[in-house]
Amino acid sequence: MSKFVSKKVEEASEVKKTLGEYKYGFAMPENNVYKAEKGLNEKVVEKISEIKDESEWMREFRKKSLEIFYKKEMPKWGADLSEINFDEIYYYVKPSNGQEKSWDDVPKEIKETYDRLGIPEAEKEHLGGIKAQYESEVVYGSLMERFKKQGIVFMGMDEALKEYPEMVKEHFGKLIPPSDNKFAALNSAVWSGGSFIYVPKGVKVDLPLQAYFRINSPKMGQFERTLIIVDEGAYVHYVEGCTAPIYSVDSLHSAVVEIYVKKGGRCRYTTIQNWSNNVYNLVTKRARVEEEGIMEWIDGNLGSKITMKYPAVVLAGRKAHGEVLSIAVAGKGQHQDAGGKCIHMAPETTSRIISKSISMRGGRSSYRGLINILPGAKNSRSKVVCDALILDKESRSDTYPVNKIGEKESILEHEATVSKIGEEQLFYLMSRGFSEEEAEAMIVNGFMEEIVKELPMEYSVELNRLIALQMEGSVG
Amino acid sequence: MKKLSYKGRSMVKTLRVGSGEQVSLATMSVYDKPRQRGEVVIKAVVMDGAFLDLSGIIKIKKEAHLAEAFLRQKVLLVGDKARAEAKPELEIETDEVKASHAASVGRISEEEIFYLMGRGFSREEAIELIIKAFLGEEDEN
Repeated sequence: MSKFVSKKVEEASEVKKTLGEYKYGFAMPENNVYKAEKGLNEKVVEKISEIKDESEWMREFRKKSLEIFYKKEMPKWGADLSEINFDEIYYYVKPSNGQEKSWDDVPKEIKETYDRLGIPEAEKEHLGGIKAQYESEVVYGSLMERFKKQGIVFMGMDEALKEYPEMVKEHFGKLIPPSDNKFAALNSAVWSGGSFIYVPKGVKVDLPLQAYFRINSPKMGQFERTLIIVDEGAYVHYVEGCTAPIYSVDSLHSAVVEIYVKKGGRCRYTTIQNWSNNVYNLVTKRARVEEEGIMEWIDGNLGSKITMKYPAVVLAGRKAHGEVLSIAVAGKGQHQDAGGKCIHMAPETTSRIISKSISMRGGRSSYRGLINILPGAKNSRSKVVCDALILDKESRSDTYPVNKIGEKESILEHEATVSKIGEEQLFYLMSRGFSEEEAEAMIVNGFMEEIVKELPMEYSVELNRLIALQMEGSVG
Repeated sequence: MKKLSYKGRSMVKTLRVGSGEQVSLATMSVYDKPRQRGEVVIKAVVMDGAFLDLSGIIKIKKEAHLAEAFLRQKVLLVGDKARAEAKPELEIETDEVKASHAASVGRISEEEIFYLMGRGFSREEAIELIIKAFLGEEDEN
C-alpha cells in the first residue's frame, strides 16, 4: 500500500515537472517564405489562389465565399466572440517551400518545434501516416508503403486538389457549403492545408492516420480544410492534435471538416485540441453516413480561449449509426461551448451523444446539442447523456440541448446532471492515504474514463496527466 | 399556437395536445437562495398532427449553494404526424449543487397494444388506456 502511494506521489511530481506550465507554449523565431498582409480583402484571397496556382473553380469558390463571409452576421448565440478583430489577423503564412518527404529536409526551426512536440517519436511508434501543418501549409507528410499499395490516399488538401481534382470537386464544400455559417464562409475563402483522405472499398486502415496543427506566428489565423472519404465497407481512424505558443494577442483557428462514409463504411475522428488559451477555436465539422455506415467523433477540448464546435452526423442511410463523445475542460478564462448534433433522415438510424465537462477556476463549459429525428425516420433511436462537474464556486456549467422529434415511431432519451465531487468520495480516498489533490484527480479521471478509454494510448495518458495538472490547487 | 407558462418550485403538470393543436409550454425554475429544492415534472401526450414545443430551464444563481433541482419532460407521441420538441436547459453558476434533467420522447409499443387487445379491448380502447396510465402514473423517482 505505502509503496503504491509513494509511486503515486512520484508520478504527481513528474506530472508537475513536465506539465508545470502549458508545455507547448514555446515560440520559434518566425522565418516564413511568405506572409500575406494583415487583414482580409479580395487581394489576399486572390494572392492565396495565385501562390497555390489553383484552378478556376477554386478561385471562384474562394471569391464567392468571401462575399458570403461579408454578408453573414456573427452568431448571436453561444460564446462571446465580440473581441475578434478580423482586420488584425494574418490570413496566410507560408513557412517553407513545398511539402517535405523526408524529415531531414524540413526547415530547422519547424523541425525543432515538432521535435519538442514529439512528432518524429510518434512516427517511430509505427503510426500509419502523418501530416504536420505549420502555420498555413502542410510541411511534412508520410504514409507507410503498404498503405500506398492498398490504394489509401493521405495527403495535404492543396496537393489533393491537383492530384485528384475530380474527387475533390465533387465533395468539397458540398456537406458544409460556405453559406452554412460565417466561419465556414471565412474558411472557404482563405483555407489552406488540412488533410485529404480516401480509403478504397473494403480497405481497413489498421493504424491511425495522424495530423498535427501548429500556429507559430502571433495574430495568425489557421484555416485548414479536411476532407475524408471512406468508401463502402472501409474503415479509417484519423487523429488530430493542435497546439500554439502563448502570445499576448489572440489567434484564430477556424477549420472545416467534411466526411463522407459510404455504405457499410466506418470512420472514427479523434481530436485533442490543446491550443494555448489565447486562441479562438471555431470549427465546423460534419459527416454524412450512408446505409449501415458508422461515424464516431471523439472530441476533446482542453485548450483555447473560446471554443465553439459541435461535430455533426447526418444519418442519411438506413441503419446508419452516429456517435459523438465529447470532453470539455474549462479552466481560468476559458469558455468551452461544445457538443454534438445528430440528424436522423432514414429509418432505423441510431445515435448516441455522451458529453463530459469539467469547469474549474472560473471557467465555463457549455453543452450545446441537437437531435433531429425527421418524419419518415421510423424506428430510430437516440440517446444523449451530459454529465458535468463543477469544482469551485467561480465556475459555471450550462446545458442547452434541442431535441426535435418528427416521427412518432422513434425513441429519444436525454439526461443531464451537474454535480460537485462528493465529500464522501474524497474522504474515503484520503483515508486510504491519498492527498486531497490526488483524490480529486482520481475521481475526475474516473468521471472521464468512459471517453478516455476510447482514445489511442498516448493520448489517454496525456489527457490524464493534463487533467491531473489542471487540478492542482483547484480544490474550492 | 397556444402558449402556457409556469414558474414555480415544485409541480407536476400533465397535458394532452389534441389533434391538430400546437402547444408550447415553457417552465423556468430559478434558485437564488441557499438550500432551495425544486422539482418539475411535465408529462404530455401528442395526438394526430399535433405539435408540442417543450422548453424548461433550471437556473442556479451564485447565491444558491446546496440547491437541489430536477426537471423531467416525458412525451408520448400517439397520433400520426405528431411532433415534439424538448429543450431542457441548465445554467449553473455555483458548485455544491445537484442539478439534473431528463427528457424522453417515445411511443406506444405494439406489444402493449397487442396485449390489451388480447384481453378484449379494441385498439382504440387499448391506446386510450395506455395514455391514461402514462398521464396518471407516479414518477419512477
